[in-house]
Amino acid sequence: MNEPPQPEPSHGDVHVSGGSDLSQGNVPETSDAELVHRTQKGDAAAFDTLIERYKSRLYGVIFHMINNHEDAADLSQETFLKAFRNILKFRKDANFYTWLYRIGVNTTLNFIRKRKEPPLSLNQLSPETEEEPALKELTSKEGVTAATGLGELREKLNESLQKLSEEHRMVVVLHDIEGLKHQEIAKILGCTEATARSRLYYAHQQLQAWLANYL
Amino acid sequence: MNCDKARSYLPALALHGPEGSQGNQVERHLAGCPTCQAALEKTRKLQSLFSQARHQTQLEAETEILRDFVPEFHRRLASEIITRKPTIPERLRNWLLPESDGSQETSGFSVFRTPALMGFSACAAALMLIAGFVAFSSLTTSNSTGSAIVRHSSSRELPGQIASLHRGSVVEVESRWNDLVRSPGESDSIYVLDRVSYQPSKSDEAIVLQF
Repeated sequence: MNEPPQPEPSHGDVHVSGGSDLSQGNVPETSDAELVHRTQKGDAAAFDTLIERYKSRLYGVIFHMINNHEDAADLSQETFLKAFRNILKFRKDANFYTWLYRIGVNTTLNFIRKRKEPPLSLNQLSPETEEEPALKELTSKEGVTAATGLGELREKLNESLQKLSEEHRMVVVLHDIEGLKHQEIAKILGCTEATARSRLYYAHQQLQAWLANYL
Repeated sequence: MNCDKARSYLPALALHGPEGSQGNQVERHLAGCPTCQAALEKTRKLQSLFSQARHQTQLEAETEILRDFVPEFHRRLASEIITRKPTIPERLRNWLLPESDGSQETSGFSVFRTPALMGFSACAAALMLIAGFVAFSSLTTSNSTGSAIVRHSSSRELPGQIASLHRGSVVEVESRWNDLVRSPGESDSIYVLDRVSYQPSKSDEAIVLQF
């Protein structure tokens, strides 16, 4: 998985769909395709613009996958370096952000799999697991009462996310946090739309159970 | 459409609205199913929590963590080492002359050390030693080609100066490069050279040029 994947053809080439805002301050209105083309011709400033355009979103995806700021920043850098090294292989009819996200997803999944403590899979959950002190605290009345700030709520959300398997977590991050559609998620993860939909459904069931007191 | 199938579409419906024929079917199901309506409401609340978390994370990232992201990208790019794959003669040499601590049979010859094949393995070993000697000898006299990233302050003078500024085992650099990176506000340029000739050594798995 070290080699970034070849992107699949896509109908669009500029913006990510969904509810997310792409604007990053003074980013020019040049299309992704044009910036990629200029980068391929040797214009490094064009790739800088692509970095500025997507660094925050890419970082968000990776952070919510691994819940660590330092590692997320490092993996984001690694993703852009891989993209830059392979920019000459990028096809004109492809979607840059789909390609970039796919590199980021693979880089992140490789990182997670190399870690010593793998995340808990949905299929591995058992009644004993649900009695874990951390999980009980997460869903307890006391936990709800104490969680008055947004920061604490976000912490609990991240804790819940980390308890999902990486495949389920990635779908939740890409859909619910990044606002991507199943079609785009399927391209990024290399699975079918039905698989992406199914993973999201089961992940939501689990998250709603864990976060019942917030819903 | 039953409840299970309808609920698998709820996250997409809550975020993007009804889409296609399936979306219409889900909406029709929801109109007559209070249980799924409640499930949709829970889905919306969950997504609302994630939306808040996302905005908070992005805000923090933009103001702190990602502030120097592009300069850091250029720094990493400039110091990057392009690792080359061992050539076929090197692979052959490594197979014939492996480094071993003596505690285990790690040699490629171990497969020949069975009574039935002892005679054959002796002949084969002799032939391979000769082949290995030839390959090893060729490595000491020929150059290999790889890639390298270099930084220099003047693009026009680079090809001429690179031969006199090289380090280590690099003996020749062709004047070709396939990418040019110029950091904003910096006079230095970074070149990604695609043909760098050099003499490989046993420990030489990577080449780097830094001026």
